[in-house]
Formats: sequence, C-alpha cells, structure tokens
Amino acid sequence: MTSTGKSPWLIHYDAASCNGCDIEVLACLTPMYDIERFGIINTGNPKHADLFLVTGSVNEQNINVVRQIYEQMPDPKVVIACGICACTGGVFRDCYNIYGGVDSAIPVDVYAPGCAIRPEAIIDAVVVGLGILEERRAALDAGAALDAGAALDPKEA
Amino acid sequence: MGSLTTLNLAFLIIFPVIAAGILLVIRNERVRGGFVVVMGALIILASITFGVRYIGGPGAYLSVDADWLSYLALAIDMICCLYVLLKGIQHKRVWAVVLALLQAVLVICFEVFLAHHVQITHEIYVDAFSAIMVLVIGVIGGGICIYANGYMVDFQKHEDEHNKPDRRPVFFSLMFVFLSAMFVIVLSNDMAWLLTGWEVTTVCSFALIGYTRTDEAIRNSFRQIYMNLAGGIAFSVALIILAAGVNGATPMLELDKLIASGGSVAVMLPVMLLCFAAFTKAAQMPFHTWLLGAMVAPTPTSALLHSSTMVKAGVFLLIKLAPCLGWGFNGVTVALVGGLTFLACSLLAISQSNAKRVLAYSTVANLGLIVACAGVGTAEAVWAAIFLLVFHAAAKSLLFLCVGTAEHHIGSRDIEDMDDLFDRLPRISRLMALGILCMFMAPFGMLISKWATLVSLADTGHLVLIVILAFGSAATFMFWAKWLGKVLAVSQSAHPVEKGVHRTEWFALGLMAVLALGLSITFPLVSQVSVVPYLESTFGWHLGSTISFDNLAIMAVIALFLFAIFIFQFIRPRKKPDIGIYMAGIGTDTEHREYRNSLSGVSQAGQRNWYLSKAFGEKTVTPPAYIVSIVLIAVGLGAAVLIGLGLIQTGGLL
Amino acid sequence: MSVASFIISLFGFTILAPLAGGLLAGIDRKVTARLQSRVGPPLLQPFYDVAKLWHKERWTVNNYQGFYVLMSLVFAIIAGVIFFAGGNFLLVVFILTLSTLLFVLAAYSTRSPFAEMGAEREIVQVMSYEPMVIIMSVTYYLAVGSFNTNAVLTLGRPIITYLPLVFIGLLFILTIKFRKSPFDLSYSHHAHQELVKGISTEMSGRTLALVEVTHWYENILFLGWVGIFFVWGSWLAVLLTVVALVVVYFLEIFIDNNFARVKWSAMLKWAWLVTIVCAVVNMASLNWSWLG
Repeated sequence: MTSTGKSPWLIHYDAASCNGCDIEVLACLTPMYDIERFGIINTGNPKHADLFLVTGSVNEQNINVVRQIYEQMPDPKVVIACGICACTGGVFRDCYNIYGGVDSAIPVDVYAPGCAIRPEAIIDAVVVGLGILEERRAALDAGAALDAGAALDPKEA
Repeated sequence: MGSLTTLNLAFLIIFPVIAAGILLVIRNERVRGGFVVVMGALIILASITFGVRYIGGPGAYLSVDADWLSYLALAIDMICCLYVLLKGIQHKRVWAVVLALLQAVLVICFEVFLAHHVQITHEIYVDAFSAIMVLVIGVIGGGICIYANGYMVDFQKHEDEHNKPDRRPVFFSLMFVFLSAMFVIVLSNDMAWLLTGWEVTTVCSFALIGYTRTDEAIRNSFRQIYMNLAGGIAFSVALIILAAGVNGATPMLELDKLIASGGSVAVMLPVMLLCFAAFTKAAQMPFHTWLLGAMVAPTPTSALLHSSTMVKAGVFLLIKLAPCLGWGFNGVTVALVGGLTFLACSLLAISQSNAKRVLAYSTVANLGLIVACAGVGTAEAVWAAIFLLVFHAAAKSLLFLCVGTAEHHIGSRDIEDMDDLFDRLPRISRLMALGILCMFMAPFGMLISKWATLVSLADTGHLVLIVILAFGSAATFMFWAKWLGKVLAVSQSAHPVEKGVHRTEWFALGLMAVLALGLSITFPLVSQVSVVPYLESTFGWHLGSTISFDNLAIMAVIALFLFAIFIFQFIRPRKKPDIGIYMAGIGTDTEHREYRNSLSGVSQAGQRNWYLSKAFGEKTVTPPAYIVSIVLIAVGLGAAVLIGLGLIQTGGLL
Repeated sequence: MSVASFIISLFGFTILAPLAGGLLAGIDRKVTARLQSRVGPPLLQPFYDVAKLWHKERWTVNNYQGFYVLMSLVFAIIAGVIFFAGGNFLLVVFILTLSTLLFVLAAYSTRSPFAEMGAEREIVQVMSYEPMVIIMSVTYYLAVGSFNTNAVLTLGRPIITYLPLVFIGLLFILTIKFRKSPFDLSYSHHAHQELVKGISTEMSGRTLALVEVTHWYENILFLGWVGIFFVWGSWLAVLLTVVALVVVYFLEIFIDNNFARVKWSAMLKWAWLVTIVCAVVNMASLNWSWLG
C-alpha cells in the first residue's frame, strides 16, 4: 500500500438526511471505533481531503454544494455514499424536492447501505474506497488523465 | 575649512529660499513643474556632494564674522511670531496670540540683554552626523518636493471641483523654505540660529497644515502651533538660562560647548527645557496629537513632516544632546517618555484603519524609540538611534508617497479599501509592501536598529525599557502584518487603474524604494563609513559588540536574497487559478467571494481586518498614556528646576 | 558561530530535524490517542501524510501562495541552522518571525474569508507570544553575557538556575507556538475545526506538505529553545536535557488534551500577563544579583 492508502483524510457532508447516518460517521471517531488507526483524519476541508463521505439524499438546495465540494477536492479522490438515503434516496426518494442518491450529483465509488449505517459498515466502505484511491493514485502518477466519468463504470463500482 | 565648504553651506541654506521666492510668482503649472523638478534635483545633488564630503569625516567648525546675520535671525524670529499673532487674531485664537507674544518678548529679551555678552567662536559646524542629516533632508526632502509636483496637479483638480483657489505657489515655496530651515537646524552651532530654524519649521508646518483652509485644517494647524510654540518658548527660556549662566555655569550659547559640559548640574535645567522643546517637535506623548492632526494636509506635507523634516529636528536635537543624558534625572525622563510613547502609539496603531493614521501613530512610536535611545545616551544607543532615524525617513516617506498616490487612484486612504490593490495598482502596491516590510521585518534596517536598541538597553540595565520594547514590537507586528496582508491579497480579477500616475511621482517613489532597500543591503558598510566615525569622535568609542559584523552581513545577504526572489516572483507570468477559494460549497463566483445565501439570493463574503478597538482603541489607551507622560515630564522638569537651580543638593546621585 | 559549526548545523539540522520532527508528531498523535483510550495511528503516520500530500494533484488558488509557503520553510530552516550552529539568539528569533510572516501572507494572498480569519488569528498569536520570546533572548544575554547560543557550553551551571521564571513563561507561550489547545486559534491538528482549517484552508497538495514539514522544523527549533535552558559545560547536560525535553513535550500534549480552545482576548491577556510577571520578576532578580 502506498502512502495514499495509509493516510486517507476525509471530509464529511451531511446532505438531506434524518441525521442518523451523520451521527454514525462521528461515532467512527470515538475510542470505540477509532478510525484514526487507519491514519484517517476528519478534515472538514475539501482541499485537504481524499475521501468524500456523504450521508443523506441530494435535494434542490444541496446539489450544488455536493458538486462544489467534490470539485474542490484535489485528485486522487473517492466518494463514499453512506446510508441508504445517500445510495438511492431512501425513504425520501419520492419527495418533490429530492433528486435521489448522491450519484445524481457526482460519481459515487462506494455504496454503503444501512438505515442508519453501522460504523463497521462505514469502516468497511472506507477500506474498499482505499483500494480505488490507490488505483487512482497509480493512474495519476502514471500521468494518465483521470476521467471522472470512469467512476460510473459499473465494473469499477 | 575652505571656501568651497562655505559656498556649499551657503548654497544649501540660501538656494532653497531663493527657489521659494521664485516659486511664489510662477503661476503657470507647467513652468512651475519644470522649475520644481530642477530645483529638487539640484538640492538632492547639492546635499549628496556635501554629504559625501563630510560623511565619516572628523567634522569642522566655522566662524562667520557677520553681526548682520544675528540681526537677520532675530528679524526672522519676529516675522514668525508676527505671522502667528496675525493668524491668531484672524481666527480669534487667544492662546496663539498669547504664546506668540510671549515668545516674541522672550526672544527680544534674550537678544537685547544677554546674547551679545556671550562670546561665540563657531557659529556653524559640520560633522558626520550633520552630514547624515543633510543627506536625509536633502535627498528625501528633495524627492518629496519632486513628488509633490505631480501629486498637486491631481490634488488641485479635486480642489477645482469645489471652486477652491489655486494656492499651489504658496505650497511649493513653503516646502522649499522648510528644507532651508532644516539645513539651518542641523548645521548651526550658535543656538540662537538653531532657534530661528526651529521657529521657521514650526511656522511653515503651521501654514502647510492649514493649507486647505477647511475648518478641520485650521483647527489642527492651531493645535500644532500651540504645542510647538510651547516648545519654542521652552527653547528660548533654555537659551536665556544658558546665556545668563545660572547656578555658577559659564555663559554659553554654542551647542558643542553644551554637549561637552556633559550634563553637569549647572546645565541640567536648560538641557531639560531643550528636551521638552524636542518632545513637542518630535510629537512625543502627550504632544502627539498635532502630528495626527497634520494628516489633513496634502500628502507631500505629511510625508515631509513625518520622514525627513520637522519631527526629525526634534530627535536630531535629542541625539545631539545624548552625551548629556544617560543615567540621571534628565536621561531617565527622556528615555521613559520615549519608551512610553513607543508602546502606547504602537498599541494605538492596531486600532486604526485609516492608512495615514496608522502611519502617523507608527511615526510617533518610532520617534519614541529614537528618543528613548537618546535618553539612554550610550554610544550603542545613539548608533541605534541614528539608524532608526535614517531608515525611518526612507521607509516612511516611501509609504506616505504610496498611500498618497493610491488615494488619488482608488479614492480612499482606508486600509480596508486596499483589499485588491495588488491587482489594481500593481507597482504601487509592491512598493507599499516593500515600505511596510522595511518598517518592521528582518532583515531590513528598522529591525536591525531595533535589535541594536535592545542590546544597548540590556547593556545599560534599562529593564523597564526592555519590557516596553518587547511589547511594543509585538504590537508593531500586528498592525503592519495585517496591512501587508491586505495589500498583497491577490484577487485575479480586478482591473489596473495605475495609468494616471505622474512621472514625477514614479521618480520619487523609485528614489525612496532604492534608498530603503539599498541602505538595508549595504547596512554594514553604511555603519562603518558614516555612523561609527561620529560615535568615535563624540563618545571616543569603537563599535565592538552591539551587533557583530557577521550578523549584519547575514542580514544583508538575506535582504539581497529576499529582494532577488521577490522580483523573480513578481515578474513571473501570472497563472490562472486552478481552483476557486473554498466558500463552504455555496460559492457562486469565488473570484468575487459571492455565495448563495439562505434566501437563494447572492451575497458577498467579506473579511475585515481585526482592529481590536475595545482593547487598543484610543479611548482605552490614550488617557492612561496621557496621565503617565504628563507626570513623567512634570517630574523631570521639576527635578531639573530643583536640582539645576541649586535648590536641592543631590550629592552623587546625578 | 564558526564556519565548521555552521556547516555541521546546516546539514545536520536540515536533514535530521524533519526526521525528528515527524517522529515527534507521530509520538504526539500516539500519546494523544492513548490519553483518549484509543489505539491511534501508526508511529510513522506524519510521514505517510506528507508523502500522500506530495502525490496529490498540484492545485493552487494563485501564483503566490506556494511561493510564500516555500519561503516560510526556507527561513524556518535558516533560523534553525543558525540556532544549532551556536549563532545569535535574537537573529534566530527575528528570522523565525519572518518565516511566520510569510506563512501569514500565504493565507492572505488567497482572499479566502476562512484563510484570512486564520491569518488574523495567527497575527494575534504572534502578538501574544512575541514579547516573551524577545524577553527570553534578552534575559539569556543578561544571564550568559552573550547572545550566542553556544555560550551556554562554557557555563558552570545551566541557565534554568538563573532564569526559572523566564522558563515558565516560555512554556506558557510554547503552547501557542506548538499550536496546542487552548491556544490553537489559527490552525490545529485536531479532527474538528471551528473555521474549516483556519490559516491553511486554501493550501492543498504539496503546499500543505511543505506547511507540515515547516512545523516539524519549527517544533525541533522550539525544543532547542527549551533544551538550551538545561545545557551547561558538562556531559551530564545531555541526560538532563533529554529528560527535560520529554517532560516538557509530554506536558504540552497533556495540556492539549485537557483544555478547550479559548478566545483570542483570553489568550492575549494571559500570555501578556504571564510574560510581564515572569519577565519583570526574573529580570529584576537577575539585575540585583549582578549588583550584589
């Protein structure tokens, strides 16, 4: 594993959700789960982050926010949809203002379902995400242009 | 002393006066422009030839065998008093009338009853320090006169919009008279002549501050004249006491003899009175308000008052008197007043957002530091004081000129409005940044001088002043760094508005920048060539341990390196930003810091600098500083009266 | 400061300080985790972080930010080299201030509201600790008789015995300099930030990596300041210094974990109060002992 996989810093954005998954993400930081074991830091700043953890579904108000945070993360980067709302829109998917899951705004790499998602599932999703992050870094180091659309490729997802 | 010297001296003093006379009658803008540039350039050249001849030299004394010169000096004194008197009557200012009359009476008493009984051997002198002063006054003052040329064209355009009369002939001739008076101050050994120069600068700045004739200008000009006339009166009283020879002293009117007396008890009172006069002129607390008020004048005036003339006359006198100060009532008073002024004004500058007011407070603070050094009175402290004076003159005039030009192009002198100056006025903002860096950062001259101050304070055991300097320097960092940050903020989108800057302005700006930077880089050399010889002749001291040559050299190398690398960075082609700034994900136009607000409208984010006005505002800091400074000066004067007049015997305490 | 010591320090500090500084940061995170009953990241985590940042996409918000950060690093190194070569203490302080100023300018140059807020806070931090730093170097001179840091090697006893209060004042402001709670106003290493990431908000990739490395250099230099209080002309000094450094750094971590961040006014007030009391009492006693 390269340094990229050993030091994944994350930014967490809570979109339209009931905040259940939001709390579970924070639970990961507690001594019980201690994700800093994996070198993870919760940065709160897209420019420092490698992992983008989104909880909740995407609506009219936050679609641009999700997009802008994603844009402001330097490559290599990975998006993880945490919880069923982030994956598909969940119970909110038929609301008038909801677009759907996070993938209706930006390409998602890892889908981690659950209502609310369990911290173990989040950690598992992050570990899967690290693999993708490593691939991206290898591609970036090789000088290949990163095609954001490639993330939507079903084979990779 | 050859005839060449006499000629050179006469040229320095008389030439600006002639230029001033001619300027009074030139009405055509273009003719005046050419004339001012030529005259300014001549003064610069004359002072450079003079300075180069005498810098580092052993000094020379000259006797002028002409009684009529003394009468002329008296006549000029009277004209000054009369002018203030008339202005006081015109504007119904009782105190101006009273002070002017008192001053006139004192000067006449002095001349009629005392002055002629005192034998004067040398009226004029030149030494290394006065050569440095001539360079400061001539080069920087001359540069400012040239700058004023372009500046006043823009200024008058603004005045024309309000149908104000064109009074620029008066303005320019006053500027030149000012320079002449300053030369008199730094070259006179006869203290009566010194007083004449002193009074002329007072009255010239009175007229220059009131130049715009607005209510505010007139109010501030009278505040200036009250304080400086009080100082002038103290000066006259000092002369009377010196000439009378109170308390067993030999009557004397020559500066070198006074300095040579080494601050003996007999001259304690006159020395303290001279220090008082210097406090008023150098705008020390509690007299600092006149310099703040002087900001209403056109920028070249403020630049001239703050950098090379007027206030520098005050600190010049104190540095000259430094051998009479040191550990004694006078010296400690001077050192503490200076230290207090440095601390209080550095703190006050934090709370100001008006660029000229920040500059004013910073000037007062730095003068305070120079005064403190003079009060400490050792050779090391005087070394620091002279360098503070020189670097302050160069850097501060650069800053004033930058602010003045920027004001004409962005329509504001508020630091908050200088936000994207980096792109709107590319060259001005970089020069401004250089000026700011020169004021407070290693490896530039001011910082090295502060360093030397610190060492000399440690050596002499002035513990209170060490603490004051430490805290004052921290405050200095605060107000300069945040201004520098605003000036160097890159916006990428603003359009340059630098086109209309006059060529004369560029010349003066360039001159000041070269001086500030060049002196920093050549610091070790300048020290060896100019200041050390003066100290050797005055204190019999060889520069040893203050700051070793190695460390000066390290600083010079770093200065050169910084300069080179910044030039390289600033001429590199501009890259378009890869990414906008972080706006919490809701930015709509990150270049203009716009974001979508909670009502789905667009708002603009802003970030004002911190001014911490509750902690360091004028309401918080000024009153205690007033009280302490007034008590200090009162105690100092009281002690000088009691001890100096022999009312109290101090034994060995002095 | 001889040429030989300068060259040794040049290579020694430039190469060893980031290794030691990074390791120190790793120990810091490990100890912090243990204090919070966590396992914590690997010891070498700071190195992984910097290596990762080095391989991120190279973005800038403008031409200048990266330049200022690089210059900040350069001057931090120069300050450290001069310090460990036995050079002038005040010179070290001044050059380090220049380094800090350049870091502040990097933040200002972006015109980002968050970075600017961080820069303002950083300036207030400088204002809070600068008096103590200056007074420390002057009292060092009063105690040792020279500004050169190598002069302690000739002493008969460590300067902590002359300057105990100044040392306490230094410890107080070191909490600011190490960017530890309760004084981590402009930038901190903790997970959640009040203002995004303060002064470094707009820095990413290699620029941020340089910021991290600058901190490592600075931290080693600060430990040098602590160490100089315990050095004298004896081999025992090595032992004492190591013990002192361990105790001091653990103390900083302990404070970091037990305090919440304060407002700028509290920081300024306390830092200046501690400085005045420590400095004045210590300097006065030093001066009297001289006279007596």
